[in-house]
Amino acid sequence: MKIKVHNPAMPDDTEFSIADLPGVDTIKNGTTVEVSEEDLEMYKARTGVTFASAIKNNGTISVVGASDKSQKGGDK
Amino acid sequence: MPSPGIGGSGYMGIAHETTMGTYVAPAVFIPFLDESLSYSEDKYYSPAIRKVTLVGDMKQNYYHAEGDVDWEVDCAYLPYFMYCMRLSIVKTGAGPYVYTATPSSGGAAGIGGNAATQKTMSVTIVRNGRVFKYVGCAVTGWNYRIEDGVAKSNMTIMGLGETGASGDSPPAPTFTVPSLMGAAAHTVSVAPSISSGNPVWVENDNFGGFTFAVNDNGAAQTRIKPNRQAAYISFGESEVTIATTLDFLDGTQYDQFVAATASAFQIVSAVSGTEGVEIDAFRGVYNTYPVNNGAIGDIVTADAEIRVLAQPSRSFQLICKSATSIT
Repeated sequence: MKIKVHNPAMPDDTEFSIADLPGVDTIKNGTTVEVSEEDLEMYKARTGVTFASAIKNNGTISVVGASDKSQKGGDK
Repeated sequence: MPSPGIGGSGYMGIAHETTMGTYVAPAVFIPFLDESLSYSEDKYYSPAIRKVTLVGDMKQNYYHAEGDVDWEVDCAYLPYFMYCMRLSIVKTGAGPYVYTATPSSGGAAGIGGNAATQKTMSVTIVRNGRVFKYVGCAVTGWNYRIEDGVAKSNMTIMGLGETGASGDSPPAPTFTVPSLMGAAAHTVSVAPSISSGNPVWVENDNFGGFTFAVNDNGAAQTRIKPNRQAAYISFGESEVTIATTLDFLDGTQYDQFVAATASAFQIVSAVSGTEGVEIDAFRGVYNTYPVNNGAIGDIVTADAEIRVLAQPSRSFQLICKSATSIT
């Protein structure tokens, strides 16, 4: 899953972290990052809900594309 | 069986509303020290007498949300709260932005117009995995204080109601790097009070603490309507004070206390050239100035309280310089 973090009220150099998403360190405002399947599983294990449901109606995080299996899933 | 949770697993997000009382998912997640926001209702217990000495029925009553949020002031987030205080705000600059706020005299929270606040907010709090959504929220009282060398603030929040439900998924919170204002960031200044223009501030290093507090005497108003939420959040008299502990060096301030001589008080907290908070109280008098010899080894001090008075043009102003742009 590729996500974009964007808060238009914050400057571009603002760095965000997403709680309970272990594989993602910090994300600069307005940029995208790939979230691995393992990280999504870990998120669900930690919070009890899927990451997709947790970012539903989220004003800052949005999904921007389908999961790129070749990038991280290929390590399995 | 669900497990017990601890406070550290919780989090809070806020968003300004477009319609007061209509929930908006968090725009930002703000770290906080503790919170006490809660559902507040005086349930109706029927005292009808039916040959038994316990009440025999209960009906739900009108309710509202109410409580405090205590947090370490971060200029990235302070403007979000400022727009929900009883303040009129002018935003200038092109980044960093300067929010200059002065007291408004509006009677009720709302969004723009002649309302006391310029915006209202939805407050989302997650406690042990359960999502609580408070809507139609305004800040009805607040303080700005230096505690343990750090700028902290307490926000008293009142909201029209709560819309959370058990099935709500906890939102994924995003956090930014903290930008706190520590011990070397603060300067207190005092000046003779003048009726217009800027006082000639003189740094005063005698303040052992500084708590600027505003109580706008908010109240949830209920009116007869077909749902139980509060009808609106009203504001009453604004009570503005500064509490501090002063070393008793000479009788100057004591004489000012007795003579009710007004002074101007200022605190400036700055992280860098791009972030900071300034509060100017242009006309304040010592409400209390108790000076006593305490125990044998105690320093002679005064736990003074200053009451901030109205000025025709401005009684106080809260200025926040922030990289955050609120529209």
